[in-house]
Amino acid sequence: MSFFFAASRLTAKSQIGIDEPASFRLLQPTTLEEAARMLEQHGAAAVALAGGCDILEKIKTQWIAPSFVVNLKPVLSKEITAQKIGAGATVAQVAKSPLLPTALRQAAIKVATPQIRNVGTLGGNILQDSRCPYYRGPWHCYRAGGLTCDAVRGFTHEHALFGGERCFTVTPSDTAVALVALDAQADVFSLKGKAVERRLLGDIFALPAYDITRMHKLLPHEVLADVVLPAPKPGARSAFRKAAMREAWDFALASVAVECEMDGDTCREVRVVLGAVAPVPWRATDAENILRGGKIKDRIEEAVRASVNGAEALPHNHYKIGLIKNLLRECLEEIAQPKA
Amino acid sequence: MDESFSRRTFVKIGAAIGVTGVSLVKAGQHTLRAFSTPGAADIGGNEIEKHPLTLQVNGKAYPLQLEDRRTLLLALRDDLNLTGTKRGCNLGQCGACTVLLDGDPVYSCLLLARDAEGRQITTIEGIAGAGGALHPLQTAWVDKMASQCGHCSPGMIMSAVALLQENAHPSETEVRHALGGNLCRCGNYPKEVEAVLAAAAGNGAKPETPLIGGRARTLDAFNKCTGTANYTCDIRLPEGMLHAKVLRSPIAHASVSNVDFSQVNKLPGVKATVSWDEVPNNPTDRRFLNGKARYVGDAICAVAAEDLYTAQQALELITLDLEEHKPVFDAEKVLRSGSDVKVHSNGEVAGFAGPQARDKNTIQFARGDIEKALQEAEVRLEGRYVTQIQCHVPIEPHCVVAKWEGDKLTLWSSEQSPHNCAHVMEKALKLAEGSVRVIATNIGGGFGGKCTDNAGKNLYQGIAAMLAKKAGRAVRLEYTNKELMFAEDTRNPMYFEMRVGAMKDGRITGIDCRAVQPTGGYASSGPPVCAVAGEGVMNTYRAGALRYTAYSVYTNTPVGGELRGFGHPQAVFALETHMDKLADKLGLDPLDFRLQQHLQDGDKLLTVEGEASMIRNSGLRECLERGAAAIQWREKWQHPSKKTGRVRRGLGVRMSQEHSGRDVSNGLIAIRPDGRVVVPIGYGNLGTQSHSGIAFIVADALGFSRAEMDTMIEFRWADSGTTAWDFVSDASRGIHCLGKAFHNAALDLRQKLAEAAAAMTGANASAFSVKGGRVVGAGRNLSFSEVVAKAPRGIQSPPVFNAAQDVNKILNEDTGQVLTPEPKLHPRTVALIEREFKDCLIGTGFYAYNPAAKGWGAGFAEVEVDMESGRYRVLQLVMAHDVGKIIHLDGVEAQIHGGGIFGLGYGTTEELLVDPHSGIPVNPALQWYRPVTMVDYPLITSVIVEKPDPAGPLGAKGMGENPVFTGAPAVANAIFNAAGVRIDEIPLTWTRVNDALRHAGRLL
Repeated sequence: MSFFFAASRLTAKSQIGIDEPASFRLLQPTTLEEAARMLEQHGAAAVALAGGCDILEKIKTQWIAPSFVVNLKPVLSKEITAQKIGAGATVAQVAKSPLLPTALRQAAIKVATPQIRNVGTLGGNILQDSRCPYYRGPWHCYRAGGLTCDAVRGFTHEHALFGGERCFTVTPSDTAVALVALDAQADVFSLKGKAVERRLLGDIFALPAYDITRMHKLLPHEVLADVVLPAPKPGARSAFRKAAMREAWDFALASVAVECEMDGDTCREVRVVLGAVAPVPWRATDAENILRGGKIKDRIEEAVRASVNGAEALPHNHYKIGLIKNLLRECLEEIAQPKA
Repeated sequence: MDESFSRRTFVKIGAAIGVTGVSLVKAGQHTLRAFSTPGAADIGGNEIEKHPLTLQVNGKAYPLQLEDRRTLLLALRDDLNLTGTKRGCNLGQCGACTVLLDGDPVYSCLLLARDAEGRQITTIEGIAGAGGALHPLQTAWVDKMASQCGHCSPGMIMSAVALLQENAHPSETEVRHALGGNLCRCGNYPKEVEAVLAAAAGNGAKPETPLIGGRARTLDAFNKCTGTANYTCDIRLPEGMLHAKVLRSPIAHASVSNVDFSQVNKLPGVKATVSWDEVPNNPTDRRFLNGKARYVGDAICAVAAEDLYTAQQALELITLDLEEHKPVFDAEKVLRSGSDVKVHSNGEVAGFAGPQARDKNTIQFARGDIEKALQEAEVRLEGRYVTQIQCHVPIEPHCVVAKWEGDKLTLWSSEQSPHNCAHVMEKALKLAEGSVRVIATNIGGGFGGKCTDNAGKNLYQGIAAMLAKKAGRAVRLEYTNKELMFAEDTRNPMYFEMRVGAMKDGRITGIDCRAVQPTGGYASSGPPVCAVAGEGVMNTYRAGALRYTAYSVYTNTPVGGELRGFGHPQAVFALETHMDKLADKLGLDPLDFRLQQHLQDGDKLLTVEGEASMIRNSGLRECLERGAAAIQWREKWQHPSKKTGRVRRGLGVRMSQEHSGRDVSNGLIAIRPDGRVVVPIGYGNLGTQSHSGIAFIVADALGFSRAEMDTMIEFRWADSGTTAWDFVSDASRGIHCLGKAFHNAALDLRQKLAEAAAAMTGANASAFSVKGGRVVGAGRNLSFSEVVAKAPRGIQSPPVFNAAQDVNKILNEDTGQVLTPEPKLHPRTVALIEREFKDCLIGTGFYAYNPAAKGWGAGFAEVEVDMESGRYRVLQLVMAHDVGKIIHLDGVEAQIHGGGIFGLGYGTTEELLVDPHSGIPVNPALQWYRPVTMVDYPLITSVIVEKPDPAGPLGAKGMGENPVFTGAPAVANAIFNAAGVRIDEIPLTWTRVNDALRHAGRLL
């Protein structure tokens, strides 16, 4: 007989019976600067709350137990114009706003449920954390600061086809996928310059290779303030499609957003972005290259085939390759023949 | 070598001085990440700051002092006592807590109360019109029977209120999307949509409807749509309640070597603790707290404190030393080669009488020589089918409030079977017979998960009872969503190996089935589920020989107990997929094959009680024929080899029987001296509306109208202290079993009234009839009180029953023995009469279920499969069910819709995934478990067949479970018909369809 004893007595906490928060202090800043300062000052002991749909779930299950919750609701703009959306605007507002491009509205209306859209903010939706159950469960996951991935030897139905590296989680956001396709920018308030900096939205997302513990590159003292849309481009048309097992609540198993700038029938410029198949909104550049400069309706099947170039399926997610092809075809068909 | 020795590791759970942040736990071969809670320590014990704030609720301002962490849901329910807003999953994944915030629906569980300050909050209590008149949506909810269990109703109505404010005339699609954030686990979606559309259209007057076979208003319709229905979670005792929390094992297999409460006892507000070694011993393999954890979530010890937050904090301060054992996950491997580490030391297989050796099956039943029959067959087909863990996930998590008065214990509990629960708790707590009372007026969904009918069940009520005893205070224990999903029992996964032989013309020579059931850490209902699954395999097709052998195997996985269908959903998936393959192999249309080979009247049933009963009054053929017509089978069906294109449609069919319940029921009706009628129904109110159906049967037999029911009869239900004994509330038995016992009681009472009137008047008893609370005949019109004044009171005769129909053999689940019950009143019913109805004229009835009265059903599905991805959609379900006789049309339709939707989830989306290496459930959240939502259910067509059986009341059969069996096999067969590939494992995920297409070279 051989016995193995742990080197020291360590702890594991049983989370099964817990669904109300440990105590915390709710901080109510009055300016973006104050909010950023609070977040910096309390560091790992603080979290930011925008809509709270995800952060409150984490706090209630005591998966995290921050001492301070910085309420961003009082300081985030909710305003929506054709060029600028406040990060505090609810997903429902975005979905209902006729000023905004088709793909963004189509993505917003597909988020979760009416109740979550009424509370969840655009900023929160874009900067969502990973939804991998192994990350959020009691496993010793890389993303949670651990030293392995149990998902790849467990269940990988939800995981990535592209961009995974030790961690194969996927971006859960629908609106981020649409916004990257729309070439949106992010206005980020930074304590450093005490001002808003404008960055390309597509650049704020983090691959595991950048930092395996984070889904985006914003620092603790940085707050996403507004999402900026480029000036209207002539002939721009966009579309978004999402596949999920359930039409309510579910995160995408795959999503596709496309924006084409059209000259008559010809595609002058295009962005094809895939969601829920990579840790970040994923540009399908091979498909873009096929579509760019041609007539869309002649190149749909070729682009569809190219959209999944480089996909590497895990044990349970091969179906996502087919989903991407399904969804891109639907997007391109809609763009080629927009409904009156 | 790694598996040949036991790795022992000490794992310490709870507080650890100086350890915050991430820490490691060596757990056998696994490394688990521990959770960290620096927050509580930083703030400093219990001294939590409260802030003043004012909430504007339903137009009134409420000043409050609340902690920052208080959610709006708790503020409404616990601080303002507005309990109409329900707590479901408590994590924004069910919708029960929906309220309006400035007119928009939001989840109040995902909003801090402080964030709702300055906003207008509207709850279900705030939507009534002037003078308390019902809101038009509530009127529609009542008229359309839009509540089954009703726990989702207040939240869903709030979503609908917001919709109609924005869009007065929504389409069906708009309604479904607007209410998409409100789960209804009863699957009553079609009636909920109908109600919203009716309210939008102005709610015409409810049409006249007969009491039997119509759409009479149910007993609790009003309470459930106004938020006034009291569920256990809404119980507030004037003397206050302590809150309990249970510490559960985070690892799958471990012995508890020490429990240390010393830190807990220092925490202000903690009033009691209880550990596993204080729990009385119990003859089954399980106690409600265990010294050996046999699955992740097994309960070990518990605390009770003044408030929920303190109880949670106390949980963290318990220090628990666990010695880990190698977990057992593979049931087949255990059967094949045993296991050096055993879940239960005295045997690997769960038998009816406890653990037994692995070479001994749990149950076998057979007829004829199966090997010879397979030998003689011209075509033989073998297959293996795998089913998953399904969770009940009722919207209301389990809740109990335990209160002692001397040696008497009252349990308000979300309990389906109050009588048996009281009986079982008396045994488990070593209390005298009759000392426990269980009250469960409303339950927010049961589905078998709240059925405490044997001592091997979870018995969480015992934890609250022991804490209450020690603290000398009432204790409340409410489950979290995780506890609901895997600490409580689930549906057993099962594997079936099928061998079927047939002649080329389709005649089946033999069916041989070996079933293996990983039952989890404890047997619970595993063995009887194996038995009933066998009935599912044996009793659908004519076959020369039959053999069914099942092994229920202990594993360190969540416990499989009972869940709507009780073995049938697993078995019918395996059998009906296999038979579909056989039809294809024989070159037959699968519908024709079934029409030729199904069991018919006069064929013998093979049930756990033996072979005695003969099929009679079967509506199966009519179900198949009318269902096929409804889905246009003959017009649409094509062999898969003829289909082309990227998107292909297909049809699938399945059929089966289901028993109409089991065991013994008592009926009792009393007329008080003042003429008032009391109907004390022992059935649980789990949402099926069986108690309403039984009430209609009684009222009809005694000549009352629906309006007179409200004014002249006192209906009681689901209270073991004030109602007649009933065995359990499950197994499709409400209307058929208890309804028959009450029908017998009504016949008894009618006869006694007539005899008393005859004695008063000198006329013949047959001259009298009963109507509207009066006894009429021989030129006299007597009120009940006049008759009762002259009639003999109390128990005057044995209960009424029909010897030929109403007394049948039953299986004792605790021992596996088949018994013939004595047709007499249960001592608890007698005691109730002695206690309360001694001065009343009473009628009593008896019934023990009849195995011949099967509920038959056939289900059809149409699907559309994308051959590029494997993604598919279910377009339509046709559900054809033989219910014997419709007692309540709304109720029958609701069971068909709800069962169909429940089964669709079982077949297509729902699975509790358990990590294969650690045994930890991966997706214990509704978000990832995926019950079918309001937006997702397909077109559902119900076809109701009536072939009355004399065993049931007015001919009614059981029908609450059979609709569940359609989703898995009919959709699997339809996927084959569309795409040409078989999926032998459920749920039928897109992964599985894609893999099957890819492996067959059919993926486009």
